[in-house]
Amino acid sequence: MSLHIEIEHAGKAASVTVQGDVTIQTSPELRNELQPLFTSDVEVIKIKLDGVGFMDSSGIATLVEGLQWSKRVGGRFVLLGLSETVRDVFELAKLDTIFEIEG
Amino acid sequence: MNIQKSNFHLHLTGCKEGLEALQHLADQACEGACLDAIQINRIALALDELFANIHAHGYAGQGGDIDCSAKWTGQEGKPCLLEIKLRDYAPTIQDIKACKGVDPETLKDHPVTGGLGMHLIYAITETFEHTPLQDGNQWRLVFNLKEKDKKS
Repeated sequence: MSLHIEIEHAGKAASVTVQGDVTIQTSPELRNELQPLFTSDVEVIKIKLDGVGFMDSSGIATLVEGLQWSKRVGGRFVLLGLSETVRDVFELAKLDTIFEIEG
Repeated sequence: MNIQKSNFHLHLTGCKEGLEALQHLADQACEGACLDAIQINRIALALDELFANIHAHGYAGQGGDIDCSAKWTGQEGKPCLLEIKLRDYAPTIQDIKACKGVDPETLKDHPVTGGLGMHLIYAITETFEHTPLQDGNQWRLVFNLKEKDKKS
């Protein structure tokens, strides 16, 4: 399944909507879209994952880069709309309490 | 639980095709079993991660043969075990400890992007074993599964 990514900017906040499966094949696409946001000009990045049914470790690793950015610049990197199965993967990776997860 | 046994031989030449074939293996193995979405997703995820490692590290992204088999063991009405074996013909790994994955205890203070796949495989499976062979590697994954409540 291909990935569909939309980014909206509002001031110093960016909202990223992701749809599709985030796998070793598609995560580079997500990484390419997120990388330009990882600057000190952005304060909040919200990743909407409602449309993601499957995510593997490469997808999580891509999001961990967002976590690293938030620690580096003091910004917020927020995950929203995790499905039951995607949330389970975060729990398995013991990252559910490390990421800021809403909804 | 509908006990089934399936045997496949897959020739993996590309990431997408290999993943789709393994997903098919998981679907066939689980057919008739009353598993919830999380359990099905975990099986698919473990196979996805192991395949990705074999593809990227074993075959250096060039593709190669992988033999797959799946079988159910257990008794009616009790939690069942799904055993999936993958056998590759990549260079033999002697020390599986080198592939243990990231230590989850370190993730909180030092979030890293590598080694998550192996950590997930260990977290998902009841048993994850590697056997070095003369001309490759054998990987055995055992999932301890429980049927969901059919009334729900």
